[in-house]
Amino acid sequence: MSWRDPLALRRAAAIRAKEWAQVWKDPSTFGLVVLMPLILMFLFGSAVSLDVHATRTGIVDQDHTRFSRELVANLSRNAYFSIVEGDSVEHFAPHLREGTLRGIIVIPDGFEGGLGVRRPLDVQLITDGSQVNTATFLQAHLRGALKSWVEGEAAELDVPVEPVVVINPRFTYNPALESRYQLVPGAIGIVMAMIGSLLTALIMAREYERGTMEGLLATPLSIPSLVLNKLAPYYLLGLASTMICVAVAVWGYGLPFRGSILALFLISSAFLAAVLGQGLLISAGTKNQFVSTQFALLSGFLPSLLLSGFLFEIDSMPRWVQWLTYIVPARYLIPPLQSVFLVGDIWPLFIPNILILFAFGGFFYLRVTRAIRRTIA
Amino acid sequence: MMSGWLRRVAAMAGKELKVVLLDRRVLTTLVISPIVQLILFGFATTLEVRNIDLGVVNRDTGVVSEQFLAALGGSRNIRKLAFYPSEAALGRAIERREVLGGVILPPDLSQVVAREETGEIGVLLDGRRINAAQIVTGYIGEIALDLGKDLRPRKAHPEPEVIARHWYNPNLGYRWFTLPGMITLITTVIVLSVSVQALAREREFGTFDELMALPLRPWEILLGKTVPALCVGLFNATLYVIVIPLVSDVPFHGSFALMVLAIAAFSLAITGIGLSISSVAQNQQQAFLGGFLVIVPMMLLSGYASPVDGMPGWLQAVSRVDPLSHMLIVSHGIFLKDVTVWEVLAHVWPMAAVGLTTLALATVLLARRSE
Repeated sequence: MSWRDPLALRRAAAIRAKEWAQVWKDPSTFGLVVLMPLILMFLFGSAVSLDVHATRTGIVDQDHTRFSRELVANLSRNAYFSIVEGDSVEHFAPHLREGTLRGIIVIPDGFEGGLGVRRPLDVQLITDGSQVNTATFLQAHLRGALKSWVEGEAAELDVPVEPVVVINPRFTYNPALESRYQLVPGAIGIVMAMIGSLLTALIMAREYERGTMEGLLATPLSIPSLVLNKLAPYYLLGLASTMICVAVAVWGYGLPFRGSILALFLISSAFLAAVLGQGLLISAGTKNQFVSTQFALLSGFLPSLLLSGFLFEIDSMPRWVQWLTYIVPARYLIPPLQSVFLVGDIWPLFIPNILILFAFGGFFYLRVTRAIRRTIA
Repeated sequence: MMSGWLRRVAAMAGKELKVVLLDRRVLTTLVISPIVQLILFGFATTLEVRNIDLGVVNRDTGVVSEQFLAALGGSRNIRKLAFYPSEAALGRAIERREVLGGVILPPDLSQVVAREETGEIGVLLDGRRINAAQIVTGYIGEIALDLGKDLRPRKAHPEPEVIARHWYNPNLGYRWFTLPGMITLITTVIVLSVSVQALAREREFGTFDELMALPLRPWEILLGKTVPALCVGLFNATLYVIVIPLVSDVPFHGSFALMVLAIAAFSLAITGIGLSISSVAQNQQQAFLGGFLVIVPMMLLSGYASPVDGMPGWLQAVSRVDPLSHMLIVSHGIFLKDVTVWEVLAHVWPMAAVGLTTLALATVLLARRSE
């Protein structure tokens, strides 16, 4: 297609108009573009939280002394625990199995007697190991709580408490330790991945399934420009969704936006280029809407959620999974997207990621045009 | 001696099964895709933090920094230490995500400790990855504590400590949580995908009117339509229950029969939700996207991604009618805890209730459509 050829431009415009008409005709597209970002932003902003909350914990005081009572009272006031008192571990065991309690603390008989004077008796903790994360946090918080309680009582207990070395942690970009700051940019990535791969996986497969693909290919438009013009409306929808997400993130959840709109635009465009191409390739390859959605979920949505590094650290995954993440486009989106909110424009970080995403887009785009050409031949 | 309705439903179910089973690609997708997901995502999703790269700004030349760095470098969670000349250089490395964070050892650290005072080590971490950052802070804190005991053994605190035992999962293996949990997520995706297109596909291909012209009542049609989705769910989930103990160290303590019962109730609930959406959708695209709008929130509220206890109260209430949250509890319970029959049934009935309610809803919607 030559850009000087007015007829070709009109044909291209006609394809875009047809695609727009299809978008507006179907309320489900609107639902995906507007409702999905709102729902996801809400869930990642308000429901999914890795922040610490009060863990329901049973406590068994076998010592019944002044100090053990004080420790129980101290833990009851601690915001990390929601304490229930009971007589024995056996009494609490069914609750731990049912999941109504996540841990049982036991203060042993002789606890007070051992403090400061002889070798102290340790506090026992039994956790519900099936909830690995909660168990880990419970253990860490009980350690912390016990240590600060001992320090508070130090004068009376005659325990030397001055530590030799302490650490003084600071968290840059997120001094209030809000997990939202980590999760909300990731949610934007998921929204874009869904619009990109799921929606586009459906559109081309539908043309094949209904047999309208041949008609489309009969247009005098070249295949590359046909593909580009078919994608254009979905690219704009993806950008619109991103804007909704950013608005909710900044005004609804108070996330800072320290980078520039230009950087955000480039990052989202690069990612959309990759996922739109991916979706189209899936649908051109499967030619069936059901199989397309399954592939789109498997290769688009789920990897963006689980392998992109926004929920689970990539470096901690098994090596072979780490290698696989290199072919997940969302992996290259999350670091720049988190940074454009929390840090600012870090071009040395942005540029390589943007280039890789555009390379993904270019690769998928070439494969799609080739796949379509093969259909005709 | 089959009664009339049973024969009609069976015929409908037979036709539906054929539609799914005769398409080779559909069948392959239904079996291969869930297995890939189970293995890939089951092994990938861990909230443990390992293989971390940390930066070091060392201005202390004494014994304390030497011992601290040796302990830090030797930690099994830390992969590499990178040295930086200044705090600003460390800040830039964090900014570009070369390291997750770094430790800053002040010039007088060893002297302060030698004077029997408390030395302070600065730790700077990337707040963009706040969850990993907090966990790593915990690791560094423990190393500092151990170092203190090494440096002043005579002052080793005679303080009470916490001795933890983890029931049901003694080594706190993360896969013991993720693999039984993934069954729930993957079964949801596959069952919903099959059920949500059941009626929408007929509508898109124009066979919906023929379906309505059949001598079947709406509920008989729907009952027939539940069969493929239910079979797919039962087949896949049961397969995982068998595969998981074989490919991993996750035990299976509970009753297989109870697990299958729970899976059936769960698949029924998801099928009901899918058919309700399908009965109002005009085409497959609407059905899939509509289904997605429903299952993504259900997944996120189930307690897999983050504990239900950490959610606001009203969302916890919503989570109690989410079949995924019940199935998640049952799955962890049967795999790891050997829960009692009654404890399982307490979660099976809410799932069955959701299934029956949504199937009734789908029938009403379908009946209204066909008038």
